[in-house]
Amino acid sequence: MTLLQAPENVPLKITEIKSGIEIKKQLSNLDLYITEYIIKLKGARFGPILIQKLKEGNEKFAIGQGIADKIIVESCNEKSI
Amino acid sequence: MKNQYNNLQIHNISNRSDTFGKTIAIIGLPQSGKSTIFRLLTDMKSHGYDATFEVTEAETKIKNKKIKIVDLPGIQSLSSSQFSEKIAINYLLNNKIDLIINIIDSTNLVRGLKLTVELLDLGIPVIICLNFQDEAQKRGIIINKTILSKELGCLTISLTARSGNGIQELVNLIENSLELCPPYAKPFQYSQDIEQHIRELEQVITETNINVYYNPRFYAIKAIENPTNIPKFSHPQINKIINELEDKITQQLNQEPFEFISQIRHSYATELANNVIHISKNRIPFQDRMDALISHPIIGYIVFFAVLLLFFVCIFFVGNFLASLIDPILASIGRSFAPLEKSSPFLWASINGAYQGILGALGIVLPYFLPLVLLTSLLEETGYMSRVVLLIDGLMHKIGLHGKSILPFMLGMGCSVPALYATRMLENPRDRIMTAILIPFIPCSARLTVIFALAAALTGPFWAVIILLYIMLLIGIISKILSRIMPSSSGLIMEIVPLKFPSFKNSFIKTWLKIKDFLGDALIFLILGGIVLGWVQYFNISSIFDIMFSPIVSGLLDLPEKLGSTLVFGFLRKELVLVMTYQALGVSTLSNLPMTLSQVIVFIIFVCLYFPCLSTFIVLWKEFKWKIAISSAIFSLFIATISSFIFKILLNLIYI
Repeated sequence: MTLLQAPENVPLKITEIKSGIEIKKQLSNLDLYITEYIIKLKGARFGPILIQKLKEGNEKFAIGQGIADKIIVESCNEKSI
Repeated sequence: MKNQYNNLQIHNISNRSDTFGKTIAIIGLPQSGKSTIFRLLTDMKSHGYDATFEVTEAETKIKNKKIKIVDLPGIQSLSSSQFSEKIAINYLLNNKIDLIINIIDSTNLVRGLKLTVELLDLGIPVIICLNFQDEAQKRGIIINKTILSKELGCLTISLTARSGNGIQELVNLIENSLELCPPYAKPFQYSQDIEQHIRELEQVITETNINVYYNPRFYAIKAIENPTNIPKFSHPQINKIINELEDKITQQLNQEPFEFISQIRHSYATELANNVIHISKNRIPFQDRMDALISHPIIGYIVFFAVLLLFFVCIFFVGNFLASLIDPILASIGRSFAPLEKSSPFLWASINGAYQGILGALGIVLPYFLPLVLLTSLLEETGYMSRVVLLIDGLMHKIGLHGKSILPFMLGMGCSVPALYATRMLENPRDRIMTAILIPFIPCSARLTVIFALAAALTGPFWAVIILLYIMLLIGIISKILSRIMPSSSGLIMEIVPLKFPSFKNSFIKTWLKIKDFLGDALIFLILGGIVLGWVQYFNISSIFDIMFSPIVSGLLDLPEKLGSTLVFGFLRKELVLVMTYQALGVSTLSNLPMTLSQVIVFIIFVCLYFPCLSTFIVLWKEFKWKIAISSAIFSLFIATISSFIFKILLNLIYI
């Protein structure tokens, strides 16, 4: 499923980023890569979605819906993190 | 303002020297506090804006050693393709740096260290400054500097730049680093595979004698990560090695080389941060609880509109109050040279012109400018702006932009010039151009002053609100039309920085710097403009400008023809329009203007929308070339005329 479709407040693992190089560069600058664990905090119908990385502090990121639709994630249980 | 850090043995060099000593670069992630440290190290030689999107240099003297300190725009990586970050990267690649002061937000250690690891590849000494110690303490974060220094081979210091705590220690470290040979940081070691390719590339770079400032290793890594950033390395042998590595990484890991290398650095930074951080208390800080509230999908909007309303109400009332304090003093000065009008008319016209300029700057502009810049500085300090991006992104998409454009727009309420520079933070050229075309329509402090001053004297706050709402609606419509013409946007990716308590001391310093800039720059413009208009009236040549603008001013908009000449001066600075209106219509206070309510409103609309001011026009030209600058100027004149005409018709219908 895509990050856009993913449920809120569930641990997620990024498995693929189906975008061009520029978007991948921007994501990697924010340390969002394949195999990274995240949680979707807010997924509004209107506006960007808000995510937080699971392993580190309290960093939050806003991702536009178009880009979130290109990030493929899978649900995972907390033990696997 | 007397510098409170004079005892730090740092002095300015007043005369520029051709031969610099050493060069120190201040580098860090955006919003890590670089400019605050730059201001402290350079005796406040800086503008007051927080968001820095250009390279700022200043000369300083530390213990009789001349040094150049460079404040670079915030960067997330030395391989970034973002416009403002490329400016920093290009500077680093094309100038020799002797020492790096790497600023890290202590509450965001992992991301800060990831950049540090990248900086180590340059092979030059690095001093790590762990900034925002006050915020770290509130969160119970304790960082072991000894382990950090040992692991990275760098000197490390913790400080709170916004309160000035720890700056003296930083100065001492810089002194020591310049006097003694500072430790050279050890470059970070990647995996064996990558290291082999790095070594091969290093060898080719050394053999081909390409002129480089730093370690060949750094250029080898950059060539793998983002070869476009260093075009001089397009060598067949280099390309062959890069392609081999790219194929290997893509096949084995389904990743681009830059992603893979970035991930290795990130893993190391995470591991290192875990080793050096100790959390002494595990409670949710007040700021995080506030954050949940102001980022809430419903309450967040209520807070946003409340903040916006409070912002404008404060400016309006504080501005009125300050103006009422200054007015009597300026009026008594005005009476002192009144007898000259009959005895020496030319001298009187010159003195009166200069006086009108001072009156405009101190009596009209300053009272509204002061609360505006102070409130903007306080908001910038808190990190609230990135929440606004989050809230407003959906709405911005409706008008064809994405949320990040709101930051240049908000800065534009202070001044269009830094707002235009702030468009450098937008990754997509289409978003940059669209935002730049719209910025001249955002009411800057000068235009807000025109609106507030005329509204306070003649129309009341209701019409000020209507005019501001109309301008916002207009910006939305223009943006929507432009988005239909231009290709679609790439979308938003943005870090939401943690909320921080604003530092009043830092905000007051920044406000002072902005006011100083304004008084140094605008006051001269206003005085000279006032004198020239005084002469224009004395020699009775204002009628030429009046006739030139009469088809629009009196023909289309039914305004007094004499206002035509004021618009010419408004191009120099928008505040001049007010001063010139005084003179052109021969009144001493705004409330005596011989204009009807409809005429005042139509005039405000026209002044707020027509032609960007000279400074904005120059920056538009510099940043976006002449086509955009001239198109923007003609477009704004067209929009101003149409808008004022529509208001004239509507107001005539209402008031007849």
